[in-house]
Amino acid sequence: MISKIRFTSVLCLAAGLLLCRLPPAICQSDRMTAAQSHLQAGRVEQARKILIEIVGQNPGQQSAQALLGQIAFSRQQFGEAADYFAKAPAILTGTPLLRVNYAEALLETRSAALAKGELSSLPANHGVAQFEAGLLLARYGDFAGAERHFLAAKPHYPKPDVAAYNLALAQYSAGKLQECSATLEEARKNGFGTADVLNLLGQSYAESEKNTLAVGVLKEALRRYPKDERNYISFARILIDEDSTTEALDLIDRGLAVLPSSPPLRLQRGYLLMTLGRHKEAESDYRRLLATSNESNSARIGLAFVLIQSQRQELAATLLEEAIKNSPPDYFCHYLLAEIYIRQGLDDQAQRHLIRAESLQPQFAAVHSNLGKIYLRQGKLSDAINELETAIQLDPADTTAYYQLSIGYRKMGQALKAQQALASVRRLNEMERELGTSRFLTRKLKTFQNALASSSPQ
Amino acid sequence: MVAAALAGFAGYGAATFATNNTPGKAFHFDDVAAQVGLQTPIVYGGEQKQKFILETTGTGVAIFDFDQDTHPDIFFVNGSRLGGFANRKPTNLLYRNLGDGTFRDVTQSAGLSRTGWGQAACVGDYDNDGKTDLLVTYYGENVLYRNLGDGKFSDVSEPAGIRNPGRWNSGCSFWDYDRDGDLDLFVANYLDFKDATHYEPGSGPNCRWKGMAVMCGPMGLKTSQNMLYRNNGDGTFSDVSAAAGVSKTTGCYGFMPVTIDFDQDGWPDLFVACDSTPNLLYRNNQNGSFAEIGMETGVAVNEDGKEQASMGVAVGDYDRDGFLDLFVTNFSEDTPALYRSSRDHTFTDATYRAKLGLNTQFLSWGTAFADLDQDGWKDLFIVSGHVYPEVDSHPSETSYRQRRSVYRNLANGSFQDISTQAGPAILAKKASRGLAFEDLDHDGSLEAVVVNLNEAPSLLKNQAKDKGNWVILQLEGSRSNRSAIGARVQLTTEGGIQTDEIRSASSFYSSNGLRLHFGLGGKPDIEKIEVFWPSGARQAFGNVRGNRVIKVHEAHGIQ
Repeated sequence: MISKIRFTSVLCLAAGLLLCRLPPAICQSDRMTAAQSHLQAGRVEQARKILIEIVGQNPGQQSAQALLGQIAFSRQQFGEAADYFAKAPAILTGTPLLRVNYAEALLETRSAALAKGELSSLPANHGVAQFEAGLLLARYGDFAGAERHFLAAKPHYPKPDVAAYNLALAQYSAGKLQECSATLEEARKNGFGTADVLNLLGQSYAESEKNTLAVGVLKEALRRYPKDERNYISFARILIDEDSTTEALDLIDRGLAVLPSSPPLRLQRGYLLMTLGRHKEAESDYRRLLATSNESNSARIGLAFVLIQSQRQELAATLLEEAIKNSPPDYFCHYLLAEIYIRQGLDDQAQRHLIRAESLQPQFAAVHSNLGKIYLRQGKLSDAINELETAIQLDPADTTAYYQLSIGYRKMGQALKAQQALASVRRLNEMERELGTSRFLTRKLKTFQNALASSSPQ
Repeated sequence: MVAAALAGFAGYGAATFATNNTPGKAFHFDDVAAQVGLQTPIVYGGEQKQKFILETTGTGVAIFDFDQDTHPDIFFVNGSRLGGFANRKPTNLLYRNLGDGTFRDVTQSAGLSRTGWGQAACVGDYDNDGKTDLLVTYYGENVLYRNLGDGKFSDVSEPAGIRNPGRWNSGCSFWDYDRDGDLDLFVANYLDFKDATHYEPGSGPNCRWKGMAVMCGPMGLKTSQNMLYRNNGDGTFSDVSAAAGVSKTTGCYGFMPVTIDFDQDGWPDLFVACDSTPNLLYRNNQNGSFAEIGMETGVAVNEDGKEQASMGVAVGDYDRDGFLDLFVTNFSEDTPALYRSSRDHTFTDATYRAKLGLNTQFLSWGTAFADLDQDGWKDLFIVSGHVYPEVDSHPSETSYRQRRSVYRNLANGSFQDISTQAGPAILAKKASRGLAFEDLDHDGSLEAVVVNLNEAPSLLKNQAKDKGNWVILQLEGSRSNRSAIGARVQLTTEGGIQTDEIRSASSFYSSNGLRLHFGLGGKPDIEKIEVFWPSGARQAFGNVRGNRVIKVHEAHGIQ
């Protein structure tokens, strides 16, 4: 895995297990006892029928409502689950983990505000519930919210190293790098210098441009965990950032000496060789990766990049066409193929693949800006502007989208908006110039890696 | 051997009157430079390693008939080297076309044997005395050579007021921006004079390339300021950069200025190729000032809004819609840029649609739209060469010396790369910079003259027989400047219209001379020739026969 952010959980949230944790008070009547027996025996449908009868006769029977909520939740029938949970407030108060499920059901079907309201009423000292609330919000991309719950969980959660790591990861994801580094340093001081902690700390320092600290941490990580490929990759990023691409390649080679069959390291090596203009070697690495892991779209994409760089666009197109035909749908393959067709002046083919890429991954800005570019050439001004404005919403640093928008606005007679878009182009280009070649490369590398990481899993 | 080579070069007969659609048949280039007498190397910077950016840019070439004997002559700008020379320093080189297919070095007798870090050459009759003058830019100064008419030139830089020391003067163009009948002068500036030789290789973030310590820049170095000199009409010039608004546009590593009346209002405009910074387009405000509108018109950046390393510029109407287009050469791992002009006076990046975005391995400089097969559609010629000689000892697969590129115009808005079928001279690898085209041997087809760094230049002769008909127009102004720079010619044939303008310089640091060459395809007949003079005068001539040089005088018409 290439520095892909992940959250860890020590709890299994499977419905059956959770049901068994319900307080005995819930199961007071005979029919309730029967329902519980069915549940414990895995006969969920039979239990459900009994519970429905119970709430039909007595809607105020909160225990049955809560169990029905949980059954619906475990079947991912979130609307139904939310309805049942809503009718069991007393049970939710006594069972904070059920409230977390209720919040998730609300997140899925109603509003984030309602869900967060539920989570805010969790008992502050219930470490497990607070931790699960943090996980839930992180899963939904609310990292600041997740941070609050992980902070609450930290003093009470049974595994402090896991709590600290998840807190730090939420802080990192929320862009609170200083807080992230502090959390991880504390964990490190408390003897929790795990591979995860050291790698994230290195990344956090690097992102905060504290490269010396990052290098120190990553060196320690490499020494203690020489078989953790993430450390080589994080360290290599810093080296590229410091204009030391060759040294980055040396480091990746060191990693490959320890982990010769590591796909991420091989992918990274290919990329570095490509940026160094050593296309044949890069091609060889990607082909080697393909030979060992034939379904690897990441290797295909890397190889396609090399083929494009070395003027073999047609071969790259064939490779990607094959990948599209033989592998699960992959937005990046469609996107890259469209790029090749654009370079060949074949807008119709490009458009087809961009539309497919957009349907697979609507959050990828470059797809929208390329589609906008093509629509503009076709004279479909409003379609073009829609796509380009979407691209900018997704990536406010998308120069292509701003530039093409300026053309679109101009053609629509919106001179002021055209000027504003051009001002953004100038600003972004100035920023890029200030970043210099190495920073630009690092950014490209990150885009490349993120693309590979978010490409279809194999 | 020499005789055989001369027979190949000195083909004074009429061209074969046929066109064909087989790529390669009309393109076969041989390098005949050594055989015709162009053997002195152009020296520029280190051969194995270059310490400063100053050593990388190279020089240009100008083709013009300095002695008015009707045979176009060749002037090469020469350069220098850090650490100096043990023996003779290289000087600029003037080769007189003897009219028999050979050239003689007349540099010394012409008074042009100057040494230094020469850059560009541009030509024009700035004093309207009927003899074409020459401006040579240097890292450090400009040198204006007045053509005395007796085979000699006189350095008049100081009295003319254009020497301007202490600057890195780069590309130049004569033009009559105020349409008062005499030629003014635009000189681009590359970057800050001191910065050009200040930073050591590898000493900063902009001093590394693919892991290698290389010379620094241009990114990270201070830009300079382009200069506009107004001709006072008495042999002197005034610096009007500030008054004209030229000095307002900072932030450009200026390489190559070319004139183009892109909006066809009769007032010459000017495009400047800027390295790694947005290109500039100065629109003539018709009152002595300019508005810089590169970004607004679509020529400052590529279609992704990205700045490119613009080096050389070709101007031509490749799609024959009556509007002049721009082609700009760029760094390796990037595409060149083809800016197609539109009727609304904006440009569209048509690089990919024209199939010009596929070869990204070349770092290119000199370029020209030239109708090499004379089918009436302008083809594209490009010369290349890396900036880092160190790449040859680096594991990357690029090389310092690179082959030339020829793209055939398919007459449908796109080009076909026919380089590998266009003869051995196209495949020869050189570190090239300047490039200029002219019909040097009066056979109606164009020869290419190429500056190769630290080697003898190339003279590429298209030996293919299957070329179309042609016409060359040589204009002389009377109310307009005598060189007719800025005059627009529109040619109507059975196949449609062709348009071009006379300009003092283009390509990279070079001048194609002051004549216009048009291919006519299968028939030598021209329905109409229209000339739009800078003075505002317009002439039209009907039913003109091609396959000849036609002289047009502003006052007297076809002569």
